[in-house]
Amino acid sequence: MPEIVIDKLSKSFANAHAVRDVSLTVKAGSFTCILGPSGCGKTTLLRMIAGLEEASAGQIRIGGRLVDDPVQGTFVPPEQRGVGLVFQSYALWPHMTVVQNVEFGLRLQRLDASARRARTRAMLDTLRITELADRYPAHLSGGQQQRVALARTLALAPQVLLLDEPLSNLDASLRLAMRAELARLHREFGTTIVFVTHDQWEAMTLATDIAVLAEGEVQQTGSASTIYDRPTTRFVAEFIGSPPINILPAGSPAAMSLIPQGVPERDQITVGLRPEAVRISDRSAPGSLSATVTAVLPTGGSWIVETAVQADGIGVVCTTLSRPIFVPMQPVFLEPQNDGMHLFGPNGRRLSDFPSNLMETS
Amino acid sequence: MLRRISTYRLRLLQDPVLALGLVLLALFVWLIALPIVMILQDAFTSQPGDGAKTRAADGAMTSYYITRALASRMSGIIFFAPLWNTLVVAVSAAGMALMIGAGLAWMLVRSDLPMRGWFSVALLIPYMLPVWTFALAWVTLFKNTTQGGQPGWMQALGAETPDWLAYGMVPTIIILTLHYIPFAILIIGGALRRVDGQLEEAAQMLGARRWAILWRVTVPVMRPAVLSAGLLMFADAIGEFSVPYILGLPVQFETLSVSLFRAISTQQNGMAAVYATVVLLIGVITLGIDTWMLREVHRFATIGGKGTTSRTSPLRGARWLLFGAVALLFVVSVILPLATLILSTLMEIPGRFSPDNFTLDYWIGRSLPTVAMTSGILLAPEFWHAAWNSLRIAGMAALAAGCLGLLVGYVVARSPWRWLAVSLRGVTFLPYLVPGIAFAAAILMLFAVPRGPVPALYGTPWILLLALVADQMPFSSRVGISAMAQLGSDIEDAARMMGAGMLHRMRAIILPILNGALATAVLLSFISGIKGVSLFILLAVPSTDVLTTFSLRLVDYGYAQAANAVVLVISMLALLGSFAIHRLAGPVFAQGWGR
Repeated sequence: MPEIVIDKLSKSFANAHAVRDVSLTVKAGSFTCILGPSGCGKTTLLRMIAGLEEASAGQIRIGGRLVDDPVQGTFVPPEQRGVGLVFQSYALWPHMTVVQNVEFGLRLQRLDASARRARTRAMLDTLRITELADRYPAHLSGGQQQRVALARTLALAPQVLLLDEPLSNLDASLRLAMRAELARLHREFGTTIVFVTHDQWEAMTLATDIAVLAEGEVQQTGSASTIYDRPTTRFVAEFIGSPPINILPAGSPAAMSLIPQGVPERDQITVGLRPEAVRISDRSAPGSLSATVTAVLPTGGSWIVETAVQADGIGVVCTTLSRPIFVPMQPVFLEPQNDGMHLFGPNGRRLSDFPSNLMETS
Repeated sequence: MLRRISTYRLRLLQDPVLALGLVLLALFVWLIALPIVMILQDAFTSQPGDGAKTRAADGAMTSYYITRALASRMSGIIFFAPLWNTLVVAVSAAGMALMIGAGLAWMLVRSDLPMRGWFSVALLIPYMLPVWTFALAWVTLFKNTTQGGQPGWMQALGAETPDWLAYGMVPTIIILTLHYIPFAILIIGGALRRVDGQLEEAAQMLGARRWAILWRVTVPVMRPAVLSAGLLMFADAIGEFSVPYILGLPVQFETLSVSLFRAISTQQNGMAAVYATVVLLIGVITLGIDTWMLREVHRFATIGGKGTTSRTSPLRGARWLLFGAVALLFVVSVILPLATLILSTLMEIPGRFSPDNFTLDYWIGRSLPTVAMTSGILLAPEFWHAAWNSLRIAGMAALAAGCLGLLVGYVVARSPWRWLAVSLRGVTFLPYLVPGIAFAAAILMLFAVPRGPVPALYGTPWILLLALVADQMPFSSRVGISAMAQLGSDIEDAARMMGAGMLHRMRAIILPILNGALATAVLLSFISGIKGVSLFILLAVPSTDVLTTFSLRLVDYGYAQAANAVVLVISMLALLGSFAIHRLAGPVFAQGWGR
């Protein structure tokens, strides 16, 4: 169960920086997610950990061992890193059966036939694909293919398991099943798992630790709840959460009315409101915003109420678990709850926890 | 900083992909780029023995050859007439094939023509046969007294054919048109199939009538494919050698490629280099236009749409009339030439259809009353020697080109240096710009004398083999590149993660997955090697004859029946190979490569 330490890692291709100055520590035995929008450099980062790409600058250490450092000229090839990678496309070899796919790495390790067969059988059993042993990948469903890819990688007992978008190619019910499966494998094998995804649901439900990456830089690290409850940048606040956080632009009447008098540079502050932290009421209360309902949308277990703030027409989306009593065009009052309200300065950084605290610091 | 870059570079040099790429690049620069550069250079250098005319030392710069071709008393005869002939033949053949092919493609794809499924395979046969099959059939039918030897059938039946019908430009244009029609059908029909039927339905919903839809929607969307097909046929016709060679001599009709051949065979290397340069220039310009237009095609990205259902248009009253016309084309372009050739090898005296005139002597006879070729073709050792050469050279070249193409694809897909990928792709594509005979001239000039560690290869099978490999590289490298692009890198990285080295990955992962593409590429190259003539005619000597050059030699010596028999054997091999590919990989000819 090694720890992975990434220090000031950069990767540039011909004319673009894919990863810029990333520092990150993946705790031993953790289930860490690198989360970010597509094109943010997360797959490049994963491939550098795997050893499929070489860093342009910076260091990677796996379990204390330096595996990549262009300054010292150190580069440990992928097969000597004790790392396994499951590709997003699964990359099963189409001309080999399931058994042959799983055996491939063991053959390379020159394991004798009986040990190889035993190990292969054990892996197929663990991933519950024993009955698929002699099929070709083309005849497997997406979920089955992923199990084979996992078995193929786990057969070599890697100390670190890397997964590229592990759930993205699966349909909704399969994702739940696979999620449980990955959690079970994590418990059983105790390996350090790092996976990348652009899907916040995948990240929040699977990972013990999340690192949010944008434009090649780490924005925030922490547990799922930390990142949701205390986003350190406006980007993280907007990227995580569905429906996304409501943004009241700096200087708008709605934003100004929520920031207490006396806070310095009030008109420079952007306000973010989590949809579930806005209570809708038909009665006015201190600090509430008057708005008009524009739409009421059922989403199954909950409802989305879309409103427009009367002062400046800014849209504010609210979610509620109980059936709303409001109808479109109805005037209402929005009461933001403090724990779902986030303030960001002009540089996009989080200011502090609550407006009341801001008052004290000023 | 400096140290960092140097260690990074150093490690890159140990990358086997780079090593492989650099080796391949060196090989193709030597085999492809060097000969072309040399022939361009030869057009401006005084050739050995020409000192008196060029007034320059051997190897010194001279404009003698260019001046002689372009601005001398002889220019009209030795240069402008062949140039004019070449252009007229290429434009007419490409233009007519385009018009007829477009009509046929529309009928085969979009109409209710009877038996269109059968026709869409049957009408492709002329493209699978060597083109001079038709020239030999034409001579057999229309030969007149202008040329000595045995009479043509028309003459034997009492009708003296005029020279303009028997030889020269008219039959050359007709034959090339018949040969290219299948190519036009393939390209235009393929594009027509991919036009999204919804485009036309959208126009229909807006109230456009059938003809308005055809003219305002379908034709404009198809335009890039049609123009591209036309240019490719034109470029191919520019370099066509065998047909004008066979049909032109009796009336002194020459195209540039024939002039090039005559210049080489009379030791006028400087003039040959000029012809080759001109042919090469026309080819480069044409394909440059084509590439430029293909870039424009991106505006028509809808062509690559889902290819949804398209309705067929009823031909109504004209249905059976058009069926008759299409059937007639099939008879004229397939049945008639093949039947003529077959019958010609079975008749003692050409054109006399009496039972006692039929004989198998030309196939299996012994002690025939001729000076040479005293036994039937199947009993002649020269034939079996040429057949063995053909199989061996075409087979080895096809295998080599297929494997090299795959390696090129591998390096192009995996090279960390972009310039290496770009230059490998470019240099392997070069021979496509150069007509076979000009490329053969270039190869000949490079390998006729010993250069460095390479001995003189003229007169050995090696020169044919090397020329064929180089000539097939544009096609095989494209197959390799697109196959590797489809394969993606994950599948190989997965093996690399487990410690499989490059050779192991090639053997265990890449080759088994791509063996279908490889087999198709090898087989296609093999067929063009078996039926190709313009590449070999300059390079083969009697002892290294392949079937095609053997057959042309027989034509030169007046053994028409034997020549026809050999061509029939080549046709049979080509047809068998084509159908094998058809079974193996579907209609790959649709890509318009194997030339």
